[in-house]
Amino acid sequence: MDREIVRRGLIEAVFVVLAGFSMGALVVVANFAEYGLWLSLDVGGTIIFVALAAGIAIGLRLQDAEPQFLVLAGFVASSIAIVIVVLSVYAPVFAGVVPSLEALGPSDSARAVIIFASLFLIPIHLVGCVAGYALADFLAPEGFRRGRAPERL
Amino acid sequence: MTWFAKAAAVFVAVLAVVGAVAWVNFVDRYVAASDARMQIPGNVGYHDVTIPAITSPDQNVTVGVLFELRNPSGIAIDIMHISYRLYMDNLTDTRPFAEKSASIFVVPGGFFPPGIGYVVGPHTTALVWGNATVFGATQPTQLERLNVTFGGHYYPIIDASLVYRVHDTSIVERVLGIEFPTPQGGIVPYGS
Repeated sequence: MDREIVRRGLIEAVFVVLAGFSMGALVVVANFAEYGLWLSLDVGGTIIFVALAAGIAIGLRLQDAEPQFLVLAGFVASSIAIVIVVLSVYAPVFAGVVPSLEALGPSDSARAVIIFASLFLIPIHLVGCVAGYALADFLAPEGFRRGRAPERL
Repeated sequence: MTWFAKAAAVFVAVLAVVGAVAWVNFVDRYVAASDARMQIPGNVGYHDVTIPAITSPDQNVTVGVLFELRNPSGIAIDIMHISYRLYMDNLTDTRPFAEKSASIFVVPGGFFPPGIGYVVGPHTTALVWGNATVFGATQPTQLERLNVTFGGHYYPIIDASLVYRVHDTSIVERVLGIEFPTPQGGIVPYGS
């Protein structure tokens, strides 16, 4: 029984990490459109759509979990996304091709805006998680629905 | 597991795959472009300067400056233009360059490729000529300033700037103050 819970928890953790990674990756790609990338995205639309969609997906996955785990999963996924954004912005420094990003020009404020904008992933992703959780309850077959027991109504 | 949980799993997996591919593409180009922006300023210089001998006052003189641009980065760059100002040093005038520059300036010149620019591939070196022409018949003052030799040698001063774009991006950079180190004995007139 415990092994089953751990296995389920690990599987859901993998999806939370994947959601966080995909959010961070797509947001950073949208922010650096001037590099002529394979994928061209709008920054605002990407932050809203990806955070909401990934949140809904996580909410649908965690339909059986307690709400506090859902919120925790939302925070973890969006934190992973922000870490991905920060790591990506500083990628040339980590790759060792520039001593610091200041060497590339006076665009500190632009980098700060990218990191600041990624913070919006947290509330939007949490809203998505809650929406997905509610949607799962709505879509679930009668016997699988959460909610208050009839005798307590 | 319900059908929508499976659908959500597939959606997250697809999103992650698309994100991973796009992110790898981004990191590759971002790091390579940053590398290029760091290294190009130290890898542009002069390969040769040719100034013909001046034999008549209405001669048209074409000064050739051969620029060398090494691109050690892993991404191509487009030379949008190289422009320069040609001065001919007067060794008898001992004033600092800033003071005498107006009196020894000859003509501007440069390399102006058409279209998107001259593409220099990754890990390659380009040699491009940037010419400047003095029309003796209409620019006698410039020709006179150009025709200043000491011991039969020219002592040109060239101050160039390069504008380039990282290939397939909208990142445009400028390299200013590419100064020509005049050889110790000056330059022998071409064709003399």
